Amino acid sequence: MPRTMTAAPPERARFAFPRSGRFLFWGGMAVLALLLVQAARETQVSPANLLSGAGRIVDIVRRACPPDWHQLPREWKPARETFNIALVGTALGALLACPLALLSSRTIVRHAPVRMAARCVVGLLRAVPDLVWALIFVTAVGLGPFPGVLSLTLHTAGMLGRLGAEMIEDMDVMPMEAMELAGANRLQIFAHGVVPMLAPSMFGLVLYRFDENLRSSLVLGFVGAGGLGFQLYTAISLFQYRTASLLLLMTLVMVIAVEGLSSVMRRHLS
Amino acid sequence: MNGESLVLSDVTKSYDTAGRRRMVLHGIDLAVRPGEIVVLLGANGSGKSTTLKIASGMISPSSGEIRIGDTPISGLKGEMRRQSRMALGMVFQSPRLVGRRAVLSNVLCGTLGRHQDLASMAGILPRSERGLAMDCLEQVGLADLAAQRASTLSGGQAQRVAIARALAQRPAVILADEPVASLDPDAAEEVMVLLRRVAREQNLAILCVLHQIDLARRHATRLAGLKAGRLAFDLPPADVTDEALAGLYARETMREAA
Ligand SMILES: Nc1ncnc2c1ncn2[C@@H]1O[C@H](COP(=O)(O)OP(=O)(O)O)[C@@H](O)[C@H]1O
Ligand SMILES: [Mg+2]
Repeated sequence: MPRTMTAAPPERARFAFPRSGRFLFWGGMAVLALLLVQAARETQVSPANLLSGAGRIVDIVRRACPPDWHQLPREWKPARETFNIALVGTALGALLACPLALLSSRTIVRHAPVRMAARCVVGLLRAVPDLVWALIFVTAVGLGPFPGVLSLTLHTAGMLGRLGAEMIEDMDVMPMEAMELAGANRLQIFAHGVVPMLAPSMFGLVLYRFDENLRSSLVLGFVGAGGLGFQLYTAISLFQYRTASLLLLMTLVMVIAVEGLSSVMRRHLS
Repeated sequence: MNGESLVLSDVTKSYDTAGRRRMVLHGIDLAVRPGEIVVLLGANGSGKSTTLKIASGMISPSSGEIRIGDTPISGLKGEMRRQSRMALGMVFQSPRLVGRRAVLSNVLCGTLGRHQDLASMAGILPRSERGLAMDCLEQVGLADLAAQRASTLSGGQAQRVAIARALAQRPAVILADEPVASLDPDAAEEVMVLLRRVAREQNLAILCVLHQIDLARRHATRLAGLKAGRLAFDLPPADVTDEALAGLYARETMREAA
């Protein structure tokens, strides 16, 4: 005979920190606080020094005003150079990141040694700051924009390679599994499943990277890798503060413009 | 390739878990003929999904044979396996569509197994397949949504697109594991009506797992009851008594009483 099968819902267990865990947490917080005080002392953080330096800072700001607008036509070319370094570096980096991301994700590469090798490369590219890459390349290929492009390429490949691999591993594989069961081969699954699923978010990451790289490419100029950064470094070294303030303004405008454009485009993607 | 039956003969399956061997299926004999829709019923853990996975070739049986027509399909490799996969359309509980792509592109994915050329691997498929994919969408009543993104569909529409994708394989058999489990009653009814219609019109053998007994009774050609890995009955709906059905799900109540 038919009988009802309504079972009582299982009691839901309440989660709580065990007592020893809570003790460890607060102990850790106390240690952190002590470390912070000690670190501030060792780095010579001192309100008194800041106050005595304030006078000199005000003096520099005064000497930097107003910006030397006459220099604007002359600085146009370095500004374009900074932009170009960021653009080309980002594009090449993104290109290089694609195979690295694929090779270092478990979803695509089941062979562990290959995956590990790719992950090591990505880790190395990411761990070395772009400024250090720039120093190396300036030594290797000489002053100018090219070492800037190379260093951004490598650093970008590392960053996007890592983020891309994570994105691939987080991807919903059920549609891909369905294609496989329908008889599709791996390349087809890649072209019809993986690429359309990932391309838009990957492109969003690239745009974000571009706007980060624009800022980086400025700093790269300080070590001789061309662009506005190099001009800024020269101006400050020669105490031409009014030129320096002009350069900073130009930088600000460019960074804000690119940031705005990239965020609008990224919003459109999602 | 349609007009062929799906036949499971004396299929057993055991799993090794934590060093212990556990029989999950004990000698299943089941035949689904073209034009039929056989609904597999049974309590959770009775082995329904395992039966479907074995029928699809996703996992191998411990013993026994699975055939489509006269062709055995278990344990195949390479080209032969791809051919047999083409002949079996799968419908899952979730539609498993690529949400960012158009509905039509998703249906076209069902045709991939027929193409081994470089163009198909670069994402390009022949025109004739687009025509076929449109026909399949027509059959599930969604031709007007062909250009829409799959992620914008309702649950019922998405499941019908998944059926269109399976039809685009030009399969002999469709296997559906709880295809309506996450749909509301109206959408569930629509999907079942659709499955029954394609079984009849395209002469397909459909094996489908359901939990809704009323849907099963109304749409199945036959009901197959699975209990603890054994077939308890395999009869037309009219011949299946309420007692037989209750018996399928009785295990839980007995455990409760104990
Ligand atoms: N991969 C597996 N390894 C071990 N046991 C499994 C595996 N898959 C399923 N089982 C067991 O087989 C039995 C039948 O499972 P399943 O076919 O999924 O049942 P149903 O779909 O009818 O709910 C269950 O007891 C389940 O625990
Ligand atoms: Mg199941």
